[in-house]
Amino acid sequence: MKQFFHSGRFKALVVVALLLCGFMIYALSQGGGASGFIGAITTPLQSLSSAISKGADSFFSQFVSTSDLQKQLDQKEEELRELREKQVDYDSAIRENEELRRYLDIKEKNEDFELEPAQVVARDNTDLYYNFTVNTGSASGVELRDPVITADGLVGYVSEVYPTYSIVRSILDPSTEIGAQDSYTQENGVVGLNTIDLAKEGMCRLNYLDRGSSVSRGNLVVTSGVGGAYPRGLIIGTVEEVLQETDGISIYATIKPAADILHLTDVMIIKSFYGQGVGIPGEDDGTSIGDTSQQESSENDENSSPEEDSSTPANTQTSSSQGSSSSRGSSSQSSSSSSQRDTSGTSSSSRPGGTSSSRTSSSQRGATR
Amino acid sequence: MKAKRRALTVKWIVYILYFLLLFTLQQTPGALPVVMGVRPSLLLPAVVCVALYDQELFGAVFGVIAGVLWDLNSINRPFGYSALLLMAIGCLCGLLVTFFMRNNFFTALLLTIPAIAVYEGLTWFIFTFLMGEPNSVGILLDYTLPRAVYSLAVMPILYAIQFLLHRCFRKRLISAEEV
Repeated sequence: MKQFFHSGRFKALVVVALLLCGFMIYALSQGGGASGFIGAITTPLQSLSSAISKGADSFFSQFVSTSDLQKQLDQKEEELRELREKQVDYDSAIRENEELRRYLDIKEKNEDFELEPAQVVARDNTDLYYNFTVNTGSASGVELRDPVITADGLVGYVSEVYPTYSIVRSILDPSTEIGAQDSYTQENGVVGLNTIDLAKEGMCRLNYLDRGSSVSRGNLVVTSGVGGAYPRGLIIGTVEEVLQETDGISIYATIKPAADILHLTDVMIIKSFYGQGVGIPGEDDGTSIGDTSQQESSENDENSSPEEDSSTPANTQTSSSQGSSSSRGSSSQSSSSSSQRDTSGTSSSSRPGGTSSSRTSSSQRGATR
Repeated sequence: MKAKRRALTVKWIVYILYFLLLFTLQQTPGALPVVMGVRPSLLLPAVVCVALYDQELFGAVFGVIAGVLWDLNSINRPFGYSALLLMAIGCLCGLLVTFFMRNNFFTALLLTIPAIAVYEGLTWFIFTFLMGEPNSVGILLDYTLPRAVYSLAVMPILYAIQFLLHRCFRKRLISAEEV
């Protein structure tokens, strides 16, 4: 055995180990890895495997047991009952209709989305929050922090991008922070700080709601657009439950995402949209032009962006473990300031809730292009 | 000499394709059955099996290959982490079998258990517990341990595949030497 430690093989292994340590340190410091080339080889293989798996799944789903069908039927009947109860509220329906009419031109004009279709090709088996890999990367114009949507709603953002593939961090991940708004009450909050228990059920949290919040079950939660990380009005999900935080000061709501994040197969990446990076001009969202320009130049700075932009995902470039930790550690600071900023933005804004609804519909339409 | 070199080259290529296949199966959603909400890790037991049959160099090299592939889709681990760990595991398992242990199924089991325990335990400790993940103990019990057990359960299949591969190429190498 001593001979092995003096042999050339062992020295070669030590060199390889040192190289790997160097890669790790580089990845931790820069937030990226030298995996673009290898990914170019493996991504087509993963796409093929994913297609085979999808085909097999759809073939065998024809033979789903009747008990599953019965469960689905019961679930649909319950949903129908809830929908019928909501129909009784004519006043809110009329108000929403008026708001939608007011912003109909925005719906028609929502051609600012530049979309890139992508397929989900891989999910790390050790990942707990349903993050995934898509087969589209920087070669197709995808950039860091591009929002990822389906026809149903927002599913996440691009956390790491390589030439032929990208890794998407889902909205179920605790590191994800999204400036959000209740489309009915217009209250602002931050979707993020998710727990493993909620993520297991495919749910997420809407945090930093005031104690006197009127957010209630069934309300639609959409992106607020503050900071320009996400277009305004993208559907995130519906409120399931409103609960009090352990500190007793604020409350939070559990959100059922509109998109089926656990079983995603095809998504769309929004490569560009109006107001990206700066928010929509003319809105008093609490961020000055100076802040946003600093924000854009500091996208490569690991430490400053969480403080400056409340709505951008807290991770700067990639979600290295240290990055995740610092983002979660700083998220409470940035989020508390973000909620204040969001609130001030809301109070000074004259846009009613219909903006979100109309924007939502147009963004859905945009996703299906 | 040429025939032996050709046989070795073919062996390397087949092993690399085999690991690519395992990686694809491991990371593709829906490719493997989900048990208790987890999917198994195929690459880790495969590295141990390669090390048992082909000793420390193969174990280390394919540990690197498996780790690099695994890190490609990882969002929470820095690139190179799995490669480093699997290289060390592969090398160590190869050395143990070369100098202290015999290669058989029970040895494979005996080495795979601590290998999985070290990898999963260290990963949980660094990227879940130290990162301050709430309910980290719950994650250990509900995700990490079931995944470790599931990975251990598929080891016999990978050991059998490795046995067949090794036997196939040993015959080729012997016949190449005779030529």
